[in-house]
Amino acid sequence: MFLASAAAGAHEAAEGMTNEVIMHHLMDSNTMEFLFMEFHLPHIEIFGIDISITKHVIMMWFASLILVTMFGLSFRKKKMVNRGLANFLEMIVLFVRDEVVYNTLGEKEGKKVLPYLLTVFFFILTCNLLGLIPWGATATGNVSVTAALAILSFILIQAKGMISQGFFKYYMNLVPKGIPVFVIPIMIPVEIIGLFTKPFALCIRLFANMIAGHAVILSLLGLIFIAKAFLIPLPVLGALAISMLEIFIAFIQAFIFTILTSLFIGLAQHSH
Amino acid sequence: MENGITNAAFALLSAGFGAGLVTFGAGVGIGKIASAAMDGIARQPEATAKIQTAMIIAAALIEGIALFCAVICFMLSGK
Repeated sequence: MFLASAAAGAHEAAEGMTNEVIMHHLMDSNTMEFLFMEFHLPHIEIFGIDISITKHVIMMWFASLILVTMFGLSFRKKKMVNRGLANFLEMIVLFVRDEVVYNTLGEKEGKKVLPYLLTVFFFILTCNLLGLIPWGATATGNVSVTAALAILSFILIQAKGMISQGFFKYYMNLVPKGIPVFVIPIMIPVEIIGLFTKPFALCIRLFANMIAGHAVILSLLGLIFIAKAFLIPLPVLGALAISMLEIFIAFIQAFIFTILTSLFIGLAQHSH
Repeated sequence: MENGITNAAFALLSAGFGAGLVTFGAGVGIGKIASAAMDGIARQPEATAKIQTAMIIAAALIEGIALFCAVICFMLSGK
């Protein structure tokens, strides 16, 4: 009985350690690991707001660096028909421009928001994919990062709505015209809350998709420590399959964020 | 040592139950979308690209809601 409880205790200890390791991989931290080296990043605080440089900040900078380098170097010479990497990037840019932005917004309005939407698409895509390489962390798996992106989209949606329909008319038009009078007191709070829930859903959708994928992979690999060693092939194969799904989801989530933002902009510009 | 079910036990129980329920809901919803998409593609193979795009968007929206609940279950299981 003593051995059984000791084994149960060891099992619990393994589970506790596994939880810690999983949490360490999912959450932001002040240290960056690469191979066997560990860098301690500076902790900066201004007026009580913590703006220290953490792992996710470094990954975001890395993603920006990759994007600027790739696009800058590929499009140095302006040719009609690009070759190589520029061709591939142009394919993706044209896909976002034609299928996403011009389809939902039309050509005239779409041209104005195209830079922001392309930036958001490539940034989210790169951040998502960087989380899948070894020693990389998913910056979009941090709710602050996705909240910042959602806030930017929110500001853009409200600004485009106010510019297109007039500052006050935009909010007046939230409640559609030909409805019975007694419905209006219910419609007003519902529509106002609806203004905020759509970007909030953008934020949570991206964050939860990224975190859930990594949590499942890490939990599957954690099974190795909790269960017996001869079961190792199962978690590894499962983690491999889910990593493939993760690559697919990385592209899908970037696409969804972009197309939903452009849809909301289109909705804000035309009254019902 | 408390007698009866503790708060943490309830939280874990409801987290597990909720996660299963959410998976069921998301599965049913996305299954219906996929079935309608298959019907559409079977009737008109030329419209495959548009149907696929619409299917992906609808599936991502439903998955978004499912993942709201997943996040809540995560938070519950941490208590």
